[in-house]
Amino acid sequence: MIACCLNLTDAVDRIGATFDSDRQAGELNAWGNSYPAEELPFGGQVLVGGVRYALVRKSPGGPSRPDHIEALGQRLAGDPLGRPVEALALLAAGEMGPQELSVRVHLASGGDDIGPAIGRGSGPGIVVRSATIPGWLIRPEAPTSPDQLRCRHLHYPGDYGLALLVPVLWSRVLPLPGLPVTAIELAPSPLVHVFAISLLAGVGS
Amino acid sequence: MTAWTPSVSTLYRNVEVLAAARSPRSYSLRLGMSWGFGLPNDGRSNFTEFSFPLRPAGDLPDLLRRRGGLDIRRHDDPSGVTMHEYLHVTGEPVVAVVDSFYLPYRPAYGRVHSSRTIIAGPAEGDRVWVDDCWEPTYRGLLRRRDLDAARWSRAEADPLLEPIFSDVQTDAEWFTVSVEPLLINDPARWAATTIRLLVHEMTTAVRTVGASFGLAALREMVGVLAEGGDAPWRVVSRRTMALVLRAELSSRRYLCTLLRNAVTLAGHPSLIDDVNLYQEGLWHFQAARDVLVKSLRHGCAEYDKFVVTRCRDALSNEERLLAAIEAAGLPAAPLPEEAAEAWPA
Repeated sequence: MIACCLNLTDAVDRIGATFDSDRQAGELNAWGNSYPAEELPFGGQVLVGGVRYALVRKSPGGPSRPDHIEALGQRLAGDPLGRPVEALALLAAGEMGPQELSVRVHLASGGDDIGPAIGRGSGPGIVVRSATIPGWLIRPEAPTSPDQLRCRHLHYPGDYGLALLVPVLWSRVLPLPGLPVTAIELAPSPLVHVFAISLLAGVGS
Repeated sequence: MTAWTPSVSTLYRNVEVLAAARSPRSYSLRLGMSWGFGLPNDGRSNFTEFSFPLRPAGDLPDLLRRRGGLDIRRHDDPSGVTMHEYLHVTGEPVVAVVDSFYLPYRPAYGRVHSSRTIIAGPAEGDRVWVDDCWEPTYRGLLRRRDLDAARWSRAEADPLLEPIFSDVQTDAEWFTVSVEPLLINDPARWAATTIRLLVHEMTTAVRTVGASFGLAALREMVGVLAEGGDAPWRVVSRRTMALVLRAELSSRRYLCTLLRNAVTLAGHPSLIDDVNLYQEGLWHFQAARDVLVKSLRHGCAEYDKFVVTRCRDALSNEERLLAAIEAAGLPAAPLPEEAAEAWPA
């Protein structure tokens, strides 16, 4: 499987992970909790559920900077090389429990010819895909699964970390019709936090 | 049966647990015996995580007792020993209001003031059995002195660490739950009457000095939110609005169970699909509630737009179910006067 990891550097708008030196900067939820940045591969790549994802750069020291996208209707550029895409993959989590995310995917051409088995978007060359994004906090004893990127503890804004609940990022793969993707729109769903997006080809291989 | 169910407040959840032990077959129906909407507009700030929905005819527990024989009784405890004496004498668990700051098993222990309810059972020596449904959940023993400290806390306001559930003077408040027998001679008539009563409650517009009620109040809320900017929050604060929705959503979870049973008994099982659709549509209320909570820490225009849209869809969801019930043409049944509503034996 080939993954085109989208560069989200210019799109990130929220601080979901904090280093130990800056826990009070967390804004993943109303209580200021956050992922422990030391445990996530910021600036690198990671394989979750067989999908390769790239996280934005994030360095310790100094004030924390945004590291992910809160789904608020953003439009993101697709694969600049225009390769056919068979699936859209998200590394994301729901705030306050599981959340629905709807994505409008703009296709380079042939959108009008998409078969009836595939959900149509509102307009030529657009398909809409939806996914349930599981909640970001689970109990440590909850079963592990390949689609999880699980941390070992949770950061609190009171400048401490505990492992009574642990934060997780989830991989979700949404099938696409195998056409080049020019843009992706995240429907407004402020309780969905997207840390990485990859466009996949050769999914069946 | 629809898969998605809304989350509920700790008080509703804990009352459900205690009522289920006493009336396993009907507890959920009895908790759903109200369909209304109460919107405060007097600037009150005393809503809590464990508040009941506002109703014009008095408090909601009184409605539930008169309509379904479910007696949720609130008690003060000025001496600090009344609840413990009750537990000792009756052996029956109760619901206690607590501040998590004093509960050693909680992440917030010693750090964050946050008020909600737990179930407390009889003591074993100097320890009390408790059931705390808040994640991470806990069932086990708790030192009585910790429980007492949690019951008497001021839960000081802490907008940064606890923007919604703090600043609650608990005064060792506690609740008992008892269930009276429910005698129904004519289930079909009871069901039709109940549905009519609930529809009447929801569609009757009532205004008092401090609040408005019914579908009209929900429309009013959507209208106020649609004004945008700071205008809505001058009428009802974000925090209060989130807590109002929390209470209304909790009540509706059980309303759905009641309605599914009632429409079947009334001879209109096809309405179950409408009730299931309605239950799915309660997601709009929940999403609005949760984004309102989120906005307490970081407000932004996109959040407010989302909340307006969700509340508008929640209103449509209520109207759709009312229209479906009306279209079904349920048999005419006398509307019981609240005072004479003596279904419980």
